[in-house]
Amino acid sequence: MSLWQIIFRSLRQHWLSSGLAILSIALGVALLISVISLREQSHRNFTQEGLGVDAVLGPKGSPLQIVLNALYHLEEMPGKIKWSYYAKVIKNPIVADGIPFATGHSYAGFRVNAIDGRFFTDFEYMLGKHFSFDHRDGGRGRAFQSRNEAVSGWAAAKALGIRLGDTFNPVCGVNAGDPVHVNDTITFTGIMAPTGTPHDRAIYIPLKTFYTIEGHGPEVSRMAVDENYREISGAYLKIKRIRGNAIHPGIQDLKYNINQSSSVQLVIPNEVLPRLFNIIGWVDHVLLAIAILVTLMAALFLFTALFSALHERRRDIALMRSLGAKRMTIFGLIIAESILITIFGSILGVCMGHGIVAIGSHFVNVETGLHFSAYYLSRADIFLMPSMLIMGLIAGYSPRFVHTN
Amino acid sequence: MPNIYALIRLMIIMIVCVTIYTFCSDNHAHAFNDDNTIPHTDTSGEAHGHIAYHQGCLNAIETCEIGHAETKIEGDTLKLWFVGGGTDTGKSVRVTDKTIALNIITPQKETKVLVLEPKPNELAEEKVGDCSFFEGRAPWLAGLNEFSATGNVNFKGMIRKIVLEYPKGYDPD
Amino acid sequence: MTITIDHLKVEYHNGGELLTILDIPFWHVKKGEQISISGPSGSGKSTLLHIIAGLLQPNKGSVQVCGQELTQLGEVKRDRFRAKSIGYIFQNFNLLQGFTALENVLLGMTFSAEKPHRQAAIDLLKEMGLDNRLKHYPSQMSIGEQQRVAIARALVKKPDIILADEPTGSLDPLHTGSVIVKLRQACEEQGCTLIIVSHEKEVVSAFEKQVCFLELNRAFAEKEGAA
Repeated sequence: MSLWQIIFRSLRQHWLSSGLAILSIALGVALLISVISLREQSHRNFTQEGLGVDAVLGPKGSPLQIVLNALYHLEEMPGKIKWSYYAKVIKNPIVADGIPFATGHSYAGFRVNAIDGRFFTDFEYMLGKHFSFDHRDGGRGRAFQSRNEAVSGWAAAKALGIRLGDTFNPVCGVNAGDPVHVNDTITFTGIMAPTGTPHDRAIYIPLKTFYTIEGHGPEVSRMAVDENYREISGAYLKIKRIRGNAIHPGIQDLKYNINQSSSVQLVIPNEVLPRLFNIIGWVDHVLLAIAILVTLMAALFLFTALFSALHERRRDIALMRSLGAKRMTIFGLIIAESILITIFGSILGVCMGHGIVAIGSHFVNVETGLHFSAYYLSRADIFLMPSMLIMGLIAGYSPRFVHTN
Repeated sequence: MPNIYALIRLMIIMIVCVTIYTFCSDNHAHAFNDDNTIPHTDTSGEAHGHIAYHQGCLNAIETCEIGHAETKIEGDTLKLWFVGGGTDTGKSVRVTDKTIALNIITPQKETKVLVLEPKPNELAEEKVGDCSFFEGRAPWLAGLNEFSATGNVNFKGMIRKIVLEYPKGYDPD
Repeated sequence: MTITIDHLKVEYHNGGELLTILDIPFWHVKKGEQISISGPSGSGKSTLLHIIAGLLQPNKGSVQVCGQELTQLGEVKRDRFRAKSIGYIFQNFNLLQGFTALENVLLGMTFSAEKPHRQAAIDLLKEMGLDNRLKHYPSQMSIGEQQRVAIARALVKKPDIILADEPTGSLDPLHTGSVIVKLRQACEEQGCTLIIVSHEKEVVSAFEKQVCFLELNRAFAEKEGAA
């Protein structure tokens, strides 16, 4: 019979210790994979993409608050800025485009943002990607065209069961108990195709609707017609590019100039969010340390399992030696068994890890609109298998110190 | 026999590949920052540790804590920003002067006078007499890589002497 | 194929004391001989079998087996020699519990240079009267059946020498006789040399050539004499 048959039969014979070793390795690997995958995807979601926005023009206040409200539909804007200031900024030679918006409303827990209609035609939420209402992409209907129309993001529509033609009354505020604009009924004309970004979690109405909603008072209504009087919550800015698709270096001068103002600031999301990660980075490091510790414990269990199995098999080993098996053959059998246990455990662990990510990403997507993929290949997927093989090799090698004659 | 040596060789190759990938990814200096802006690499004038937001050189106004004059030459134009003291070099400080005259000494020991005109930052709603940025233009500035200069400015309510050392910056502390 | 032992000494250091386990001046076994060795426990009989099988190296002397000087061979070559030329039967059968009877027999051929011959293993088990036990595990067989499997495993690769260390030690008298008969028959058919170590009188007396270990091993004789 072949040596591989001997190995598999041995694994089967010691199914309990082998099974426990495989399971403990799987748990350690699953934990490592899930922690590292979620960590990398979080970092990517929050820092690398910018969600298509080079800079956010907003009121003075916490830059993080501006970014969380403008891009992630969390928190509240700390104030308003004048339309005339926005108009001045978009005339700057390095600004390619601006999309003004007004926040502050909600519906059934989802933010209702008033926004310029060019958001659905000109804005790229990722490089080369525009919002779509095409049913082939998963969208429905069309963008709003008149005052009493609204568009829903995919995740908001799914959560609230929104269909085309449904109506709603926006809430003036984002907290429970805030008043409802009972006399303003708005109809959903479109549901955007999923984008995997927080834009999926918002509902959008025309910017002018914000000013003409009943109950806001005459000073707000005047903003609909008088640009000198108009205020907005902020604006998404697109900056011109230079060679290699690099953002125009003048963005720093623009930021400096705007930030000298007493009432307005320019926030660059890709500068703000990494700072957030630095703050919470220690949590992430602790999680990673725990995951590594669990994996090391699994390795220790593997060592223990192999040692005890070897002790049980002293007789078998002596028998095989007496039948003519070379010392290296016995060594090879033990190593191969150890590596097989490690491989089975690692494969199971990778599957479990990605399963954990799939479950976790569902909840993250529901709560924040951020997209996490169960199929994302993190660095853990790449370096884990060879690392586990080394661990199996070491675990299989160490019992060699037991006399195998 | 299970070929242990082949297995070990394969694992060594995998480890080497993973190590190369790990070290080659994301550790090298980027051509651009993550937000695609060009990295701030010019550290002249940062000798005493404060950031020059316009990539010019920082010159303390009397002392570092009072304020700075950030200076830069671009072509035939000398640009000067009045900014805060200490670590507040990112905050502009407006001055009431309508012009600023600098006595510039070139490396050839020539003395030249340059008058800087205010360029109000519209986005910060500045105006002449309430302005933090000044510019002066002269043909002899083109190609001038080094100079020292003195002048006066009404800075934070007092007439103060400006000393400029370009490009290394001025820090009397 | 013969066995020739000349001035063999096996010694162990036990703390500061030197313990001589084997001291055999000369011993010769001819090809095809069937020999029983008897002696008290601890006299070094198993050690002698280990030396002949190449599992141990003596401290002094020469051990020639099947034309090979074992003391000149490295461990790998001795392993190869043992895989090809030696069949070993233990007192406690030492079947691998996780393998069937057939697989245990095939194991006897696994480590030799030849490819395991499945049909030869099946035929041998049938000769041992185990044709209905091929797929049974040791725990599903009687003691006598297990010992017959062990014998088949030793014989399957057609070794030159069979070394049996107390092969009937765990058997009752009824099975002892049949096992010895089968073993001797099989060895005669294959023409291999049989050396059997046993303390049982009925086993020892079944062989024409009987060796008293006390006479063979001077070290034990001296120890006994000293005692």
